[in-house]
Amino acid sequence: MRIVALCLLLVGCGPDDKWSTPFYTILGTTPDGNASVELWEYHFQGSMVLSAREQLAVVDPMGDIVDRPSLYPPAVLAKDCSNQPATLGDCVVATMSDTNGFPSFFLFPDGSSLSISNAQNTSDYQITHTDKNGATWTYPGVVASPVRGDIVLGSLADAFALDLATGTPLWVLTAPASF
Amino acid sequence: MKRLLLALCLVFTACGPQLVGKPFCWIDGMTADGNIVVEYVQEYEVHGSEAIDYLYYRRFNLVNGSGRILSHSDTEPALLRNDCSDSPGGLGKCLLPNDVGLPEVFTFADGSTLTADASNQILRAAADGTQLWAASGYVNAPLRGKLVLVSDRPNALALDLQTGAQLWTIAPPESF
Repeated sequence: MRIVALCLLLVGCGPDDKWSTPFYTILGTTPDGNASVELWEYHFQGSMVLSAREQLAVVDPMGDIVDRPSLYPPAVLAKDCSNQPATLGDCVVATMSDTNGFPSFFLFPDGSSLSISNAQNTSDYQITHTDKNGATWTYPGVVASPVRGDIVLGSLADAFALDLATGTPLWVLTAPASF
Repeated sequence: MKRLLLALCLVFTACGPQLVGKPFCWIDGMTADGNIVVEYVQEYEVHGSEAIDYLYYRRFNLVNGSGRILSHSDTEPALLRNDCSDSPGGLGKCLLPNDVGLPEVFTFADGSTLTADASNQILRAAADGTQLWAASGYVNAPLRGKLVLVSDRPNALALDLQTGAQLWTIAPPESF
């Protein structure tokens, strides 16, 4: 009884809080002729996706699962991710556009926006932020992830975090030479 | 001895995978505790007897809010890419859809086609345009050995390229 009462107090125990039915996508083919498939599961609250988790499986040519090499750790959040985030700090989800495969335009409630240039080559992608007064900053890369806490997470060759208001790099994670 | 090994290595083109460029990355998202998942992809060339294969390795870095790597995990197995294009060299060659939108049309060397349209229909047609078969699903993976690997969400399927016959299906578990 106490457990049920406690559970009802917590957001994650509501009747609308559930994991979706898992589904597979195909990831590719391995050198030994097997298929690599990816199992996905979404965590919903109502119609909103809160997070997603993935697991790999290797399937032989006869359709038998021969290995489950890893569970991608950890689950990744997706909360209030949209092209029109409710506040400046809310996240922006990567929506695939029909023209360049990357999210292209996000409009914030205060009238500021974040856009990705439509470049021919990935190396030419550029992030442009325009504030409500029309002032802009630019940074090379794509926004392929949530924006939270007034930072923009993006990547090109390296991953980086930018201050949403100024475009100042907060950190840059340089890719290793190889791995 | 080293010279002998080097000479042997130069004689045979397949001296192990060769690095192609630097890894590139993108950001998968943010975790509930405020960390960030950064995914790196590294490409290697493998010189075989007929063509160059490309192996892909993936690594996931867990990065904190200050940009410091907390941990990483490498996923196995590596994925292969051989002659992946919209115009595969042969019927058994792989397809690699690009992200330019649908419909995606793959034209084989014999003039036959495989089309994935925006309504998740897969259409196979002969060189003269005659429809050979149709199926539902996403073609989002390479094709080898005359199999079409498809996801119909929720299942993973393999279809026979020539006939469209379902060769196998894997249904997902209830949860994981």
